Amino acid sequence: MGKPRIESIHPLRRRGFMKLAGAMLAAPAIPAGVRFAVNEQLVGEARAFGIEDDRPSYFVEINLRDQWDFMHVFVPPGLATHTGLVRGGSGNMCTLFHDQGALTQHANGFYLTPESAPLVPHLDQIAVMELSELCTGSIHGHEAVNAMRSPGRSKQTAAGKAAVWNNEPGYTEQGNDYYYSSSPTPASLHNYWQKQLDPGLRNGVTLKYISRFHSVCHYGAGLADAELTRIQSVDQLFQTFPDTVEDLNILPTPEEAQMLSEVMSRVDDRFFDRYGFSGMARTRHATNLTSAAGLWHTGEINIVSMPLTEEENAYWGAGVPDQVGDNKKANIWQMAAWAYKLLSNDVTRTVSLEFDYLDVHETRGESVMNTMGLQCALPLARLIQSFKDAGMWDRTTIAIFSADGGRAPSANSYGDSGKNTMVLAGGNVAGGYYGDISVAGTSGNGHSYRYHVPDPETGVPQAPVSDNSNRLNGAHAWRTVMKALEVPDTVVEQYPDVAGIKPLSFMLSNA
Amino acid sequence: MVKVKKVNQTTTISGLGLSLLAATLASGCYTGVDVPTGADGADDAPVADGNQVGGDDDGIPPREPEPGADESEEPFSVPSDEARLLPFPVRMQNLADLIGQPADHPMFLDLLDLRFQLGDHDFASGVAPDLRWSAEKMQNWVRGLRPVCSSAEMQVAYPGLLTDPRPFMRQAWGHEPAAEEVESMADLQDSTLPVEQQYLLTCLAVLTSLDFVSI
Repeated sequence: MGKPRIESIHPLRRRGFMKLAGAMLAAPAIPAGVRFAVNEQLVGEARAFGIEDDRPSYFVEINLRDQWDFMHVFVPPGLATHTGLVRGGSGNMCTLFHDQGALTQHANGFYLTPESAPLVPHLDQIAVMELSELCTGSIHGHEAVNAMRSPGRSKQTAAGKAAVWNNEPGYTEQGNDYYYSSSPTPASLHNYWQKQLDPGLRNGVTLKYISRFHSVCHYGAGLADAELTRIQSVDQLFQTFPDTVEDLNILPTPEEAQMLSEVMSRVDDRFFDRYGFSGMARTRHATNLTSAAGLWHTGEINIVSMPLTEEENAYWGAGVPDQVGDNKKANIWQMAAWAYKLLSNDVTRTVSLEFDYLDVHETRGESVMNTMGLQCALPLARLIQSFKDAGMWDRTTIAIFSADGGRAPSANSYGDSGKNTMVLAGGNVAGGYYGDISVAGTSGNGHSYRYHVPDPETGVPQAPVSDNSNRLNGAHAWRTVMKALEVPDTVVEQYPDVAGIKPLSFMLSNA
Repeated sequence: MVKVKKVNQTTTISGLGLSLLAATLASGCYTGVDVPTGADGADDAPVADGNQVGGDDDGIPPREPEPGADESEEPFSVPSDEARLLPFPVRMQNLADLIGQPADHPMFLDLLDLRFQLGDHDFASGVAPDLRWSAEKMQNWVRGLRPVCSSAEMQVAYPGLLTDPRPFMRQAWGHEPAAEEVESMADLQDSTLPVEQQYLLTCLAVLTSLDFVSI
């Protein structure tokens, strides 16, 4: 990048100009690509003018359920280089089905498979850490929260901790469990923060497209403006983001929308009085009414058509296996395409995706691993490339969680042993595979395994353990995501289970 | 107003769903299947979680209930920190009763088309009830109510809404409105607005209030 153009403006006039430019660029009609191109030209000195902190950030949180295994995406170095690895889909065999000759080695500890090869151009900004504290759901670890997403979550309520599942439609205990926490989940807190920066912003969404009754909890921890819009079907997505201006302006003028909102607020105050609701109920309702006034008359002219075109289907869908599950709702490549559309057009800034590969037990064969590998790697590579092409990658973060735990390398493992994975990609991410897994010895028809947890300060693998001990506190991962998203420390430090915990700075370029 | 190409891929499905809904409402059996169903079927003949309560085909022994445990100990509380909606079919039936029209009257088509946006369920498609009264639901509820409040049937049923909204409020809310609530409605009678727009806003306000949509 050349010298920032802002330098061509007289120093005494720069601040005023930057404010004006910021206001103009924030207009919804300005496509994100244009906005970012102009920013790139102008804001080399934005940090000096305090504008950097107010710039938007964009977040895709991808929650993969039913104990997703990333073995065919990012191979732990210790397994990739082990000679005589017993590969197979049963017992204690290792679920890496590619032999060493099929793997490719890259800088910073990466070993990729043929399925994940499209990620090679982006590895400098992808960080993988698989050794966070394990999931604790009562059915071999299945849970809908994860300590990386809500540190300190517990099955016991305590002061400051509230139920995290209340806003999930159709939530049941089996395979989800009931947890309490005081730490908001990443997409909810990001949604909250972006709406503080831009009160007119549309609410973030989560696409609840898991095929089973399993869920993913999103938790605003009492923040009135944090809760994501839950979208349970493709139809609902299209109705939430209609593609006519007419549909967006329900009332003809902003004044009428405001008037209705104010009257509703007064009338509903009486309702709360009558039935003894808490102050929190009033606050939430008032926040929702304020947002609703903006939705009753949006004045928007920038319409995004959510149904995918043939060209988009071809780009996003090529080579990605269909969803595997009971009640298939959408494919992960479609979800990635919709997330990109919403974010690149600045419709909203927070999108969460919930997806699964039907829980597989005891035997995990090659096609299972290949499918999960392709379902993860290809949409991730296409998302990164698309955000780069739109010129917004430096403001974007993608976090992928094995939402209800990962797996040990042995084929017969469950999500409550071995790994719990976070993949982080984005403009503020420093690429690398951090930590390691290696063969400890022979066991049954395969191996026993050991885990080299990264030092939370340096990222250097520590002395190995062969059990589930010594994993990293989930708060490290949580703080790392928040740092990548540039949510200020003053916002995140207020939560007791993450206060004072450092992000994993080795995974970040902005730490 | 700018109009952009309308693409509504939901029309056919919604239309079909509407017919089914109308039929089921009429027959009084609007229910979903509230037991999750499904089958396994991953590649390589793996063993997968079952969907039966208790997880007894998880490949691990089912857990015995804790001594003394029963359903009454499941976490359950009526939230006092957030107002929740009445189930969508209940709201729709109340609305139809209020105006004295059948639930499949065309004035309700927009609301029925938006039913999943408004918290209705279809367990067969994996859509569970969502009874949070969020900004998006307020948006869609008002959108769906607009043809109801603009309908001739509404005008016939409540011709004096602007002069005295109390009968409508009383009927909609099931209790006598407080003086302040009636005064608040009067604020919507902004003389700069056409009378029909004042009527529309007053109707929307009464039918969007928590007294009507919530428990």
